[in-house]
Amino acid sequence: MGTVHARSLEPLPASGPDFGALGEEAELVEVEPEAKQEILENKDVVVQHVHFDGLGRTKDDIIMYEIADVFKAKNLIDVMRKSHEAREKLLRLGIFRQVEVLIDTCQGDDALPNGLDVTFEVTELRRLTGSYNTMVGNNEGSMVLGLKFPNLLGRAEKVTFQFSYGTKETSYGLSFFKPQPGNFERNFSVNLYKVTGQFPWSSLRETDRGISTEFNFPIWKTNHTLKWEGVWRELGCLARTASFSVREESGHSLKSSVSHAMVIDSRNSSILPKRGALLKINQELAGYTGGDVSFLKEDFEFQLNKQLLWDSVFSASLWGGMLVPIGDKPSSIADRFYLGGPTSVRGFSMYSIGPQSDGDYLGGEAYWAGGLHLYTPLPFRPGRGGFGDLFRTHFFLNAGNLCNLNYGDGPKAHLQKLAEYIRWSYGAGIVLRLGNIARLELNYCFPMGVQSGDRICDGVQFGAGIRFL
Amino acid sequence: MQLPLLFSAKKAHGSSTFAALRCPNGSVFSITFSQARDRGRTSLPTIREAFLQMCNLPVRVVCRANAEYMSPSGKVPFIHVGNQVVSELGPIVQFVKAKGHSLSDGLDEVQKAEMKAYMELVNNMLLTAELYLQWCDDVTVEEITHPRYGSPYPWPLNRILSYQKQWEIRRKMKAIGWAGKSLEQVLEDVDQCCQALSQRLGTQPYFFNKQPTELDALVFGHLFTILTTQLITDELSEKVKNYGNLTAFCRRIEQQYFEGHDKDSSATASARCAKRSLLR
Repeated sequence: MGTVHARSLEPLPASGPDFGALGEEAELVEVEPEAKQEILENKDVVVQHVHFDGLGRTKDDIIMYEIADVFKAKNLIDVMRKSHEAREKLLRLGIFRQVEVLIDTCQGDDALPNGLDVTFEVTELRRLTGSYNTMVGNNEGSMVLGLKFPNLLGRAEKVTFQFSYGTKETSYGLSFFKPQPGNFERNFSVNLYKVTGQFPWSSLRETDRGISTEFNFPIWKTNHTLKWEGVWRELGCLARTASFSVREESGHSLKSSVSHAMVIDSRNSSILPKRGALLKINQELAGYTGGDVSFLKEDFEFQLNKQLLWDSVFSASLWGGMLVPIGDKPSSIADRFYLGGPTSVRGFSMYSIGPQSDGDYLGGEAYWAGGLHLYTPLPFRPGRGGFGDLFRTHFFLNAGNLCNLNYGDGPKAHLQKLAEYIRWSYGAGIVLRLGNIARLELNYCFPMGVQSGDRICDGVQFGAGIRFL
Repeated sequence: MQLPLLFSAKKAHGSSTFAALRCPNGSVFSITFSQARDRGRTSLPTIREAFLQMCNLPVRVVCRANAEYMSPSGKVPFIHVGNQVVSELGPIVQFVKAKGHSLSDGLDEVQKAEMKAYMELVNNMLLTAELYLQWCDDVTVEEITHPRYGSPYPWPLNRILSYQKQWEIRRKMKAIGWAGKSLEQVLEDVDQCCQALSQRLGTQPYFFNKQPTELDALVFGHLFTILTTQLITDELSEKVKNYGNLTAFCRRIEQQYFEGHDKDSSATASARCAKRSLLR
C-alpha cells in the first residue's frame, strides 16, 4: 500500500513471458485499479523534495519562484496539477527547450510514508541561436540574419539581434529583455533599431533610427506599458512626382516621446475569437523630453465578440484616435492617422481616405472607424474537423471618417466634422486563419459614401495582416 | 497666378524669413527655395535671386530649414513654379529660357562659349574654395559652421547632421584632389580666379557689354557672399577686395537690383529678412 506508480509494471521474469504467470498477474492487475482509484482521490501526500536535473547557467532563485506552488499541494491530483502549472511557467520563461516532470515516492532515511519527490528534468536552450533567411519581394531582395541569446545571465534575460541587408534598404534591431524574477509579467526591455518604410500611397519614404525603453506590468486584469522612445526620423519623397505638400515634409526631425498603453483582453484567441472583449487605450506625449516634435496623441481600440447559434460569431469593433499638436508647428505626416484598406475600412485602397494632394494621401489628425462582422463556418462545412476549420465566411459592414481638426473650435464642432461625409462599405468574403498570429481575407466589397479624392477598391479585395477592423 | 516664391537660406538664428521681391513685368511666376542655413553653398540663394531679378521676373523668397531635402536633386536653391520644381542654376536658366526669358540672347556663339567657360571657372574655383573654407578648415568648422548648420535642430540631431555633412564634403574634396591643399594654396587659387574675372570685367559695367548675363548673376552671388559672410579670418574677402572693379561691380548690382526692392518687400513680407549689405 502506498506505492504510487509513475513507472511501468514490474519487470517480466527472466525466463521470458510465461502465460501462466501472466494469468496470475492479470488477476493482480484487476484488483489494483480499484486500489489506485482510492489512492488518487483521497490520499494525502506531502511533497518533500523537488529536484532539478539539467540546470546549467540558470540561477536558482528564478526557478524557486516558479516551483514554489508545488510544495503546497495536498493530494496527488493537486501535485499533478501544480507540477503541470510549474512546467508551463518554466517553459514560458523562454530558457528551456524541454521540461519533463517525474513524480515518485520519496526514498531515503527521512522519507515520510506519504512523501513525494517531484523531479523536473530540463534541457536548457543553447547560448546562441541563429537564423538566416533570404527574402525576395516588392522588387527587392534581402538577407535577414537573426541572433538570439536566451538566458544571457541566468535570470531569463534575452538579447535578440536582427539585421536585414537588402538591395534597397538596410535595417536592424537590437533588443534586450529582462523579466522580474518571480513575476514574468513584469518586465522591461530596451530596443535599438533602424527601420525604413516606403509608403506609396503618400509617395513618402521614412527612415527611423531610434532607441526605446519599455516597462510592462500587470495591474489586476489589465496590462500596462510605459515607454520612452527617441527617434531620429528622416522623411523623403519616393518619386520625383511627389506632390509639393509631401515634399515640404522632407527632412530630419527628432521625436522624443513618453507613452502609456493599457490593454484588457478577455478573448479566447486574438485571431477569430469566439468570445470575449478587447480594450486598448494608448496615449503618447511628445516634445517634453527633448526633440523638435510636440504633440499629444490618443487612440483606442475596442472589440466585442459573441457566439451565436450554429457556430457563428458576431463581432463589433470600434477604433478612434486624435492627434493634438502642441505649439504652433503643424503636425508631421509621420505622426498622423491613416484610414482605408483591406485591414481597416474595406472597399477602399490602402490608406486612401481623407485629405490628399495630387493623389498623395496626407493622413489626418482625428479619425474613427467601426465594423460589424458576422463570421460563420463555410457553407456545407467542407473539411470539417481539419483544414476546413481554418476558414470562415464573413459578412461585414465597415464605416469610418478621417479629417483634420481645427482645435480652435469646440468639441461640438469636431464631432460634427467627424460625423459628416462618413465613408462606409459592406460586403462578404472568406477569412483564413494563419496560426495564431495572422489572417488572410478575400472579400467582395461595395464602398459607399465615397468622397472626391478617395481611392476605392470595389469588387474583390485581398488583405493580409494581424490587426483588422 | 500665384506669386513666385524664392525659398532661400534660413539665417543662423533659425528663424524663418520671407522676402517678397516684386518686379513690374513678369509673366513667369516662380518660387525659389534656398537653404535654410548657410551650408556649403551660401552663395547660391543670392545667385538665383540676382538672376531672376535681372530677368525682371517676380519672385518670392521663402526660407526653410529643410530646403536641401525638399529639392529633387538635393541641391539648393530651387524654384517651385505651379506644379514644377527645378533645382540648380543650369536647369533653372533652361527652364526660364523655355518660358521665353533669357539674359544671353544678345550674345553670339563665341561669347556664349566664353561665358560658359567663365561660369565653369567660377564654379570650380570660387565654389570649391568656399566649401573648403567652411568645412575643411578646422577652426572655422568648429566655431562657425557646426553651430550654424545645426541651429534648426535639437540636440543631438544638430551634431549628427553637421558631422554627416562634414564627412560628405571632405570625401568630395578628396575626390577632386583638394584635400591635400593648404589654406594658403586655396587662397592663392581664389586670387587667380579673381584676377581672371577682374581682367575680363575691365571697366565695363557688366561682363558682356551693357546688359547683365547669367555670368554676372553668378559672379555677383559668389562675391557678395564672400564679402559679407563672417568667418574667423578676413583673408578670403581681402583677396576679393584687392580688385577694386569687382567690389564696385558687386555694389552696383546690389544697388540696382536689391536695394530698390527692399522698401517694397518690407511692406509685404511677413518677416524681416536679415539682409547684409556691402555698405557697412
